Amino acid sequence: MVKKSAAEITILWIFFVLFVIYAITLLFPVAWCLNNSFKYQKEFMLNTWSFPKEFTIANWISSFEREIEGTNLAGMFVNSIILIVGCSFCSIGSSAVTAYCLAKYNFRGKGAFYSLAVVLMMIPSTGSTAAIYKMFFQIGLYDTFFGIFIMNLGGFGSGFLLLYGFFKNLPWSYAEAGFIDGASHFRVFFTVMLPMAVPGIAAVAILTCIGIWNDYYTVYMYAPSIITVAYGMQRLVAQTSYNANYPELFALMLLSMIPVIVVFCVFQKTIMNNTAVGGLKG
Amino acid sequence: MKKIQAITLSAKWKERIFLLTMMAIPVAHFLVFFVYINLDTVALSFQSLDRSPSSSGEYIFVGWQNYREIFRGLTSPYSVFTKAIRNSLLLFALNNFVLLPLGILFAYLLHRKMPLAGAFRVIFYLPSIVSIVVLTMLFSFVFDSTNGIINPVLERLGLGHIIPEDGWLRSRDTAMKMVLLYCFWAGIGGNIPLLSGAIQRIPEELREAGRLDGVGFFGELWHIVIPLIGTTVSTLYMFGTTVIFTIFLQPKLLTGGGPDGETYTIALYIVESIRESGELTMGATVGILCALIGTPIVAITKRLLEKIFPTYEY
Repeated sequence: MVKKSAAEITILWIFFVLFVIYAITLLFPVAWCLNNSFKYQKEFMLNTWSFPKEFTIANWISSFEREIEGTNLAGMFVNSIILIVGCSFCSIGSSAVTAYCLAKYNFRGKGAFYSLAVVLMMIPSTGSTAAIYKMFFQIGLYDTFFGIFIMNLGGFGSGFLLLYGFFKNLPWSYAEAGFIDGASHFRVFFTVMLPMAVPGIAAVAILTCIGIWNDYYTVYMYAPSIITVAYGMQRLVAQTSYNANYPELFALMLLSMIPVIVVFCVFQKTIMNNTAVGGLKG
Repeated sequence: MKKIQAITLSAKWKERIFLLTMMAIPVAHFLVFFVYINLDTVALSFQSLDRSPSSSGEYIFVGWQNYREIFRGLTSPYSVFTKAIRNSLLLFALNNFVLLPLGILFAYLLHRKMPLAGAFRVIFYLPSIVSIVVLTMLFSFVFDSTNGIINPVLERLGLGHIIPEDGWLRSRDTAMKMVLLYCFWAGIGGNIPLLSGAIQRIPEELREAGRLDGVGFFGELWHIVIPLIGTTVSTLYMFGTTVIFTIFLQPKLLTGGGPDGETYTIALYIVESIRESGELTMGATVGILCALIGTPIVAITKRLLEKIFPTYEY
């Protein structure tokens, strides 16, 4: 290592201070909400800055009873979890199958499939919302879990590109050993190759799950009576008036963040490394 | 001899059956959700909902009517659509010319043994994993007129007069600036993991060689790091370009497009016309125009970027 020059050290420290300031702007609002969530509404209205004089967890308890169209917080969690399980199963399953076939088998049109996946990611697709909305109405998929699951069955998204790279690097000799033992292609895929791809799939799955947990748009657009946590929060905010019980809203907001933060902390290494390595290479 | 041929043939068929079964669902999904949906989007853009009393909600062919309506909107400077285009371009510029360079700089600084680099990397990435609904809520609380954090601070500093009367998010002069500020605040860290990964892959010898040649701190960033992470930068730039046609959640959640359509974007226009006004055909028409304008822009950008950032093998 060459020694750092004085100029370099100065630059680093200037940016260090800027980084600390930016980090504070990200963390302070959360801390402020956390602090205020332990106050009674009356105290919050009088003073939003001090620590609570009268400490209460009433807001945290009552936030569980808040309802949006008959769905309370527990119901929203259940809806979100059903969506996460169903959607991630559909989308990862489909991407894994597509990625495996394209990475390990040779067939006509294979190259076209791969470029298709890359191109599809770049075409702005907002415009097709109208036609999907119309189709969902016509065939009765509007406002159903099933409709959203089906929508997630696409095999050519970003998950595909990540898993394609992953399968490409898995040695084919394991599969060949399987074939010699008389296993079918299906058997080799499900019992030999797929288990070996678990680390790659897990990384994709974590990001997919976080994405679905946070996604309020899909439900808002195609299934507005399935109140998920993200959609429920948005509805609650939309209803909030200036004299609303803000401390309770803070508690709700923090509750909705907890699962994501926990998952992020536990899988932090996997997520950060995966987004780093998984970046489209070429 | 004949027998062997029979076995190989059936092995080939086994493989074919396997591939056909496996690829059936993804391909069917593609045919429905891409091919059919896009054809129907084109069809919808030439249709209109039959509003005559005898109809049962069918779509009828109306020729270029929807397109004419949009072009009429474009020529009037105060229409929502003109504002939407301006705002989408502003957000694109913020993304590609402010956030992306900042991301590169930050990733580089974090790589150069900045104290607490690991903690910063995680904290800066938090906005990317927390729900945008919660983040926009938090941002609105901060700037809230009655109970917010910012206003008391400004008053304390004697800057009370700059606080807009209708609130930061509801006044015409500040609403769009607030959306931009939000995107800036929440968007800095999003690209850092990808860029850090790319920087880490640069072989130490290359940077060592640069240092021996007397390249300074920013010289190394400009002459060595940026050219070598070119592929990642161009990918991010490309995704940043599609923002013009896709970004809408931020303004939707912060301001709902208001006040007076001041914060609309192109995609928000599409979404709102479908979901709130039920105008599927107008949404589809704008979608088609976006695809017609957007696809060449993205393709040309890709070409240009390949020229600017040639891929180096290392």
